[in-house]
Amino acid sequence: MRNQPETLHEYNIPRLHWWFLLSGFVFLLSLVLMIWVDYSGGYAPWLALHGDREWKNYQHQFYTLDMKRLADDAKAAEVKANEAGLARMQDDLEKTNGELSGKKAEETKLQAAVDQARVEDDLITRQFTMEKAMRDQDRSLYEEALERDNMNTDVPEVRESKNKAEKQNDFVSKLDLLKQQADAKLQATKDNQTVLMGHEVELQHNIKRLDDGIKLLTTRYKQLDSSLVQGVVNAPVIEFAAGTIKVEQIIADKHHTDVNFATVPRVDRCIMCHKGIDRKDPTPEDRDWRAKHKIEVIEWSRQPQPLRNHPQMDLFVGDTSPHPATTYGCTVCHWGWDRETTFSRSGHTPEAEEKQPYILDASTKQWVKAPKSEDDEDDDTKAQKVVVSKTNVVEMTQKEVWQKNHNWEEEEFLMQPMRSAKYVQASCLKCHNAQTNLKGGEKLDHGRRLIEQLGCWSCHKMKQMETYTTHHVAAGEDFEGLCKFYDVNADDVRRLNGFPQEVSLTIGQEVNIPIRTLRKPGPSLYKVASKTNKEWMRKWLDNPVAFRPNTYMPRFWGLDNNAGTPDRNAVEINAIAEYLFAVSDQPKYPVPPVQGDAENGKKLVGQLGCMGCHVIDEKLMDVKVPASLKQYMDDWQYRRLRSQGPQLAGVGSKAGGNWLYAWLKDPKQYHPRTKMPNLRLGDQEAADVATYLAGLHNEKTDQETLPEAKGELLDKETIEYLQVTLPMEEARKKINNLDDLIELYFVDEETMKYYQDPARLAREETQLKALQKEFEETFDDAVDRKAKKLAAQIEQVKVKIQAAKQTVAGMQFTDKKNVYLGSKLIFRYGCYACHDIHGFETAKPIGTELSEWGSKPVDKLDFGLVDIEKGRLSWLKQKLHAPRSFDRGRIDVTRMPQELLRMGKFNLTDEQIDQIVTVVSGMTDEKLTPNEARQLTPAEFQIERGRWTVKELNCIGCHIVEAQGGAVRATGIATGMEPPLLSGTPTQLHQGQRTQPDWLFQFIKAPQTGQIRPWLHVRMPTFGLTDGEANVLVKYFALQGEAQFPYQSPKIDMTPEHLAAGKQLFEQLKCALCHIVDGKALGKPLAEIPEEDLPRLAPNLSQAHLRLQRDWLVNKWLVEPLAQQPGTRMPQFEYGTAIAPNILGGDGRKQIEALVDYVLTLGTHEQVAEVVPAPAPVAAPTQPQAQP
Amino acid sequence: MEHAAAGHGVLFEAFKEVANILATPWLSFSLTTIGLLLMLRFRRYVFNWWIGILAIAIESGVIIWGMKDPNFSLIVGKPDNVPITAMLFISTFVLWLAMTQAVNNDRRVEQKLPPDEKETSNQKTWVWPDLLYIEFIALIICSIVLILWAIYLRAPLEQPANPAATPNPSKAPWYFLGLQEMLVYYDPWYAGVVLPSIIVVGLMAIPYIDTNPKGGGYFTFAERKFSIGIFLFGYLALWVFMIITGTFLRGPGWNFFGPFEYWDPHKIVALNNVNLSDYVWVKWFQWIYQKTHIEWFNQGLPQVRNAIPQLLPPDPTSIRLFLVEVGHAIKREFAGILFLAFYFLALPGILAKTILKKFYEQLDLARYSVLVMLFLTMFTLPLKMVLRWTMTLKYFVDTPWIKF
Repeated sequence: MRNQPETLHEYNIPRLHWWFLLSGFVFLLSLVLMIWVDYSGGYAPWLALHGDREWKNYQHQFYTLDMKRLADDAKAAEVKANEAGLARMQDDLEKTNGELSGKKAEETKLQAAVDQARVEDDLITRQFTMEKAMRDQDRSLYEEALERDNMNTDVPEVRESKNKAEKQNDFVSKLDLLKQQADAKLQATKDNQTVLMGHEVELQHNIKRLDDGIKLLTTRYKQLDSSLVQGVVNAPVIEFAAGTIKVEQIIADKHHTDVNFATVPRVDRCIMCHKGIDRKDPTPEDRDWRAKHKIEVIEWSRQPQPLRNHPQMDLFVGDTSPHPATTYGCTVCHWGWDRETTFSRSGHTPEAEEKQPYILDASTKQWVKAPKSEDDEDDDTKAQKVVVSKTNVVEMTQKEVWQKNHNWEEEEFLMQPMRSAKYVQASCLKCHNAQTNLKGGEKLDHGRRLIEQLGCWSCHKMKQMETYTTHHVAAGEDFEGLCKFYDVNADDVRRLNGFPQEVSLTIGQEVNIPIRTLRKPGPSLYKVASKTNKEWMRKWLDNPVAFRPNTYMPRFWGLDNNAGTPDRNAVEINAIAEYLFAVSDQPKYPVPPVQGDAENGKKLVGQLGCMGCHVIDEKLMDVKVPASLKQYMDDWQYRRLRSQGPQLAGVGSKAGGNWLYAWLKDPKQYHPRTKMPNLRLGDQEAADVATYLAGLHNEKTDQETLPEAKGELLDKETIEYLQVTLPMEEARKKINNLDDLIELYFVDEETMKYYQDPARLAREETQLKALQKEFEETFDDAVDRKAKKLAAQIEQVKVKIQAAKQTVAGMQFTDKKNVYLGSKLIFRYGCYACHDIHGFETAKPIGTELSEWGSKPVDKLDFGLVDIEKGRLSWLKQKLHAPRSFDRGRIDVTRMPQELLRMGKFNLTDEQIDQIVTVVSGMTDEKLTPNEARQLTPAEFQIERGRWTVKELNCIGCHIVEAQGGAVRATGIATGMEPPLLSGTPTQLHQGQRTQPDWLFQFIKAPQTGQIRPWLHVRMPTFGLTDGEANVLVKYFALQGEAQFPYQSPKIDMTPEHLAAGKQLFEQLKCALCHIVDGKALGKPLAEIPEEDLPRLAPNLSQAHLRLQRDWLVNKWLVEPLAQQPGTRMPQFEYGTAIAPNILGGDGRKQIEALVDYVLTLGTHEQVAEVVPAPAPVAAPTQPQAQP
Repeated sequence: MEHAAAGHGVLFEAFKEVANILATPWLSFSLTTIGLLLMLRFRRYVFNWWIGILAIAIESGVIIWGMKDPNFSLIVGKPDNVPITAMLFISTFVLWLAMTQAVNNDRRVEQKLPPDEKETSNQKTWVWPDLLYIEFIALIICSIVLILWAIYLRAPLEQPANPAATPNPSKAPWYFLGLQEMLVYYDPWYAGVVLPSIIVVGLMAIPYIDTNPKGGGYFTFAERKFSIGIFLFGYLALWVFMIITGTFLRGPGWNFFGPFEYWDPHKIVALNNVNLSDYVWVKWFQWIYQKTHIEWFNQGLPQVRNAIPQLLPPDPTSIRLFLVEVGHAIKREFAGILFLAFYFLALPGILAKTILKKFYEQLDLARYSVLVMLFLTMFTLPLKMVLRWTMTLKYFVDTPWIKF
C-alpha cells in the first residue's frame, strides 16, 4: 500500500461510519426478522406480524396433547402393571435378593463352576467340529481313491485311505462322547445355578417386561417435556437433523397428480397439521376402565381441527382399512394442492354457508366455534376451555372465520381445490364407478340412481354412467371366450369398446366388459295417441309436476327465460302435441271382456304389491319410512323406490280404461322397453284394476284450461325456424308449402334415410339400371336376383314416400305448420333423448358432454347476471335449481328466442341436488393407471351386475336384498304377508344358500302364482327377462352368498330307518300344522282357512326338494331360524335328547338330517308310503313372536 | 364485485371522472407528448426545487387520495404493481434531478462559467472511500428495503400455473409490459422479435453514432437539445408510458380501463380495426367510383392467398404461384408500400436537408443512415398508435407473409 497524502473528501467520512453502523444494524435486524417470519408460526404483536409457519403451531398443540396422552398412558400402564402384580413381584424380588445375599459365596462358586464348564464345553465342541470335518474329508478321499482304482479295495492307496478314514471315525466318536459329557456337565452346573437363582431371573424378566412399557412412555414424555431438548432440536437451521417440529409427508407414489404437463406422484403434507388423523379413539372397555381408575383419556374425535382424527377410520386412513393413509395419502380423495404447507394455498374449501357463532380465543388469537350454551355444551366443544360471555360472540360463516384465522382466499388457479366434506364422496367415483352399494358412498349411489332415473345421461354424455369393468387380455384368450367367461352379450361388448364385427385381441389389450346398459328413461311415444288425448298432453307439457308431483319429466315452459311469453309457450306446446299425435301409431284398444269392479280393483292394487313401485296418494310422497324399516332404507331411498313407477293419482285423467286394461295385461305390447312387469292378472283382475285406476281423476288438471295457441304467433315462429336455413323472403313464401319438409316424419326409419340423403334414390336407380344392363349382357342369375331385390326396395320406398305425401297432402294447413314447428321444437328441446319419437331415431342428444365436468375451469361457466358465488359447484346447484336462470335479464335485448337456454327444470329437492352435484363434480378428467383404478375380480363383476339389476328392476321395492329396500312393507301389508327376505339381513340370510339355482332361475324367469306361499296376495311379477338376465341374478345371489355354484345335488340318505326317523320327527314336531303339505295346513284344506289365519301359514313343503338346498336346511335353517330370518314363525327346536330322546339315540345332528331328508322326499315318488296316524294334538311349541 | 363505491363526495367522484377521461389512450398519450415538449421548452421555470416538490406532492396526492376508491387501490396495491408505482416517483425524481442540473449548467455556460461538475470535482473523482463506501451503504439500505418489503408482501411463490385456467388479464412482468403493449399495434413477429432486437442493437450502437463530446462528465440540455429530446421521448413517452398503461390501464381481455374503473371481465369493446388497403380499395375507391363511375374503382379488395414457395428442392410451380400471389399482394397493398417506401427511403433524405441537417453534416453516411433508420423505426410506434386511435388502422401493409 502506498502512502497517500491527506486528501479532501466529498463526504464526511466519520459520519458515513455512523451511517454504515446504523444501516448494518438495521440490516441485521431485518435478517433476524426474515428468519423469524420464515421459521416461526407465532404472532409478534408489536409488529402485528404472523410468522409463516402456521403448521408449527398445530404440531405444538398436537405434541402438548400427545404429552398428555403419554402421561395418561404411562399412568394407565402403571396401574395395569400393578394389577398384574408388579409390586408383589418387586417385593418378591427384593426378598429373593435378600435371601441370595446370604448365599453370596455359594453363588460365586456356582458361577465359577458354570464358567469353568462353559470353557471346557467350548473347547471340546471346537475340537469335535474340527475333527468331524477332517473325518468327512477322509471319507471323501477314500471314495475318490476307490473310484480311481475301479473299486478295487486291495490297492494300497485305497487301503491306506480307508484306514485313515476309519481311524478318524473312531477318534470323532470318542470326541463326541466327550462332548456329550461336557454338555451334560455344563447343563448340570447351570441347573444348579438355576435352582438357586431361577426364581430371581424369572422375576426380573417379568418385571422388565412390565417396566419397559412404562419406561418407553415416560422416556418419550420426558423427551417432549424437556424444553431444552426441544429448543435445541428445533432451533433454526439445526432442526433439519432431528427436529420434532418438522415437515412431514406421505408419498403416495401409486397415485398421481397432473402438474401441468407432468404426472407426478402425490406427496401429501396434510399430516403436518392433521397429525392426529390416524389416532384411534379409546375402545368402550378402555374408556370404562380408565373412568374407573380416574385416568383421563383423549378422545381424538372430539379435538378441534386440525387435531381431530378421521371420522371413518374403518374405511380410510387406518392401517387395516381398505384405504390406509400410508399408501393412499389424503389428496387422492380430498384433492387440494398436495405439497403445500399453508392453509389457504393447500386449497381448503369452506363448507357451511350458514352463519354460526364464533368467539375469539385470546390465547391463540384464533376464532373458534362458540359453545351453544352453558347446559347443552355438545361433544365438539367440550374440549375447548374458553370463557364465554355473550358479548364477544360473532355470527360468521366458515369462510369469514377462515379469512380471519388463516388469511384464507380462493385459489382461483388451483386445478383441484379441496372438496368440501359435503361433496367428498364425489372422489369415490373415479375408482369405483363400476360398483354400487359402496360403503361410505351412499350419497354417490343415490345421486347415480337419480341421474339414471331422471335421464340426465341421455342428453348429456357421462362416461362414468357407463358401468364396466376392464379386462386385460392374457395369452390364449380370444373374444368369444372372454364374452363367455364373463357371460355377457358379445354385441354389448363390441358396442362399448367400439370393436368391429370381427374382433382380434392382442395380449395386454384393455377390453371393457359392460356391467349394465342404461335404458332410455322416458316411455315410448310411438303409440301415444292411443293412450291419451291432446288436451291432457298439452297440460302435461305445460307443467308436468302439477299433474304428478314425483315425475322425472322436466318442465320446459314457464321458466325463467320464457315465463314472460305465455302466448309463445302455448304455440310451442300445442305444436309439439300436434306433432306427437300426427306421427303416432293408432292401435285401437278393445273394451275389456268383463265388467270391472273399482272397489275390488282398489283392494287388488293394495294387495298385489303395486305399491312397491307406485304411489297413489300424493300425500304419500312426503311420508317417511317407518321406524321398523329404518335399518333397510332412509326416507330418501324409500321415496325413490316407490317412484320407480309413476304416481298413479289422477291417472284416469290421462288414460282410459281400455288402454289401462291392455297395459296391465301386457305392458310390453305398448312399450317394449318398459320396466313395468307383467303381474299375470286374470281378465277380471285386470278389468277391476283398470276400472279403479280409470276412475282416479285429477280434478285440477281436468278443469284447467290452457291459453289458445294463436295463429299469427304460430306463423311467426314457423318463419323464424324456416329462416334458420332460408333467406327471410323465401322463408315467408315457404310457410305456404311445408309438405316436403314434413313428409319425412311420416315414413319409417329406413325410408327416412332417403330423405337425409336425397340423392340416394337416384343413385340406386342408376345402380339398378346398371345391374339390369349387366344382366342383359351376362344373363347371370345372381345379378338378376340382386337387381330384383333392389327394384323391390326402390318400389317399396317409393310407395312409402307416396303414402307419406298423401298423408301430408290431406292435412290441414295449420296442422302442417304445427307438425313442422313441432319437429323443430322437439329437436331444440331434445325430447327424443328420453322418449321414442317417430322421426327422431337417429337424432343426437342435445346436452353437453359432462364426463369431465368436474375439472371444468370456472371461467368457462357463464354465470350470466345471476349474483351467486363464482364457483363450480354453486353454478351447478343454480343450474339444477333454476336451469334457465342464467338467461335472467338478457331475454329480448341480448338473446334471440332460439339462443335461449333450453334445459328443462326437474322437480328436485335440495337434498337431491346435492346428490347430483356430488356425482357430477366427481366426473373429472383424472386419468387413472391400472394400479390406481379398482379392478373387479370376475366374481365381483358378477355381483356388481346383479346389484345394478336388482336396483334397475326395483326388486328392492318389495324384497330386502343386502339389507336394503322392502318399501312395500311400509304400505300396510300385514306381517307374514310381505314378500320374502332375499339376503343380507343383519344376520346374513342368503338367497343363494337357501334355494337351488335351477329353481331360482325358473322362478325368476316365470314365477308361478300360489305354489310356495299360496296365501300371499303379493305377487312376484314376470319381468320378461332373457336367460342371460335371469342368470345374472342367479349368479349374483349365489356369489353374494358364497354358495356353491354351479349347484350339485346333495346325497340324501334314503335308508328306510333314516327316513322313518325323519317322518317320526316331522309328525312329532307338527310341521304340517303350519306348513302346507298335500294342499292342507292347519288341518284343513287351504280354501277353508279363514283370512285372518293366513299369515300363520308356512311354505309348501311339497316343493322343498325342488327349491331348497339341503346344506342350508341342515346347517342354518333348522339350527337358527330366527337368526336367518328375524321375525320368522319357524320355531327353534332343541333337537337331541331334549325333544326326542328315543329317536336316533337322541343325537341332535342326526335328527336334523333325518328330518331334512324326509322333507326333501316330500312330493317325490320316493316318499315313504305309510303315514302313521298323527297322535293327539299336543300344545304347539311356543312360537316366537314376530318382530314388529 | 368491486363496483365503484359511492359516498366519497361529489369532488372525489368528479376527480375520478376526470382521471378516467384523461387516461383515455389518445388523450393521455397526446398530453404526455405535449407535456414533455412544454416541459423542455420551459425547462428554466420547471426544473427547480419548488416545482420538483410540487410534482412529487401531486403524484403522491393523487395516489393517496385515489386509494379511497376500491378499484384503484386494488390495482395500485397489487404486489406486482408496487414497483411500477415506485417507478412513477423514481422517474420523476431522476428526470427532475438530471434536468435541474442541466438547466443550472446551461445557465453557467451562458455566464461563461464552467459546468458545476467541473468546479466541484477538480478533475478528480474520489473512489475510496467516498464512492465505494456510499455505494456499499446504499447497497445495504436497498437490501433492507427489499427484505422488509418481501416480508410485508409475503413474497409469494404462487400456485402452479394452470394452462387450463389462465389469468385474465395475462400480463408480462412489469419490465416487459412495454413490449406487451407494442403487441397491440404490431404483428407479433415485429413487436416480439424484430423491434426488441432493434432496441437492443440501437442502444448498443449509441456510442458509435453519438461521437459528440459535449455533455461528457456534466449535465447539459442546451448543448444537446435534439439528442436528449429524442431520448426522453423514446424513454418517457413511449417506454415508461407504455409500462404504466400496461400496468394500470389494461384490464381483463386486454381492454382499456380508466384507473378508477371496475375491471369488468365481460366488457366487450368493438375492435374492428382495418388495414390501409381497406381504406384505399373499399372506402376511397368506392367514393371515387360513386363520383366517376369508372368501373376499375369498383373492383373491391383484391384477394391474396397464402402461398409458400418450396425452395428446397426448388419447386417451380409453387414458386410461380407464390410470385403470382406476391403480385396480388403488391397490387392490394400498393398504398401502404408506397407510404413505407416514402417513410423509410425518401424521408431520410428529406430529413437530412431539414431537421437532421446538422447530424447529416456531422456524421458520415453510414452513421447517419443507422441513426435515421433507428429514429424512423422508433417513430412508427407513435405513428401507429395515433392512427389506431384516430382511424382504427391496423396495418399499413398486410400480406400473408409480412405485416407492418
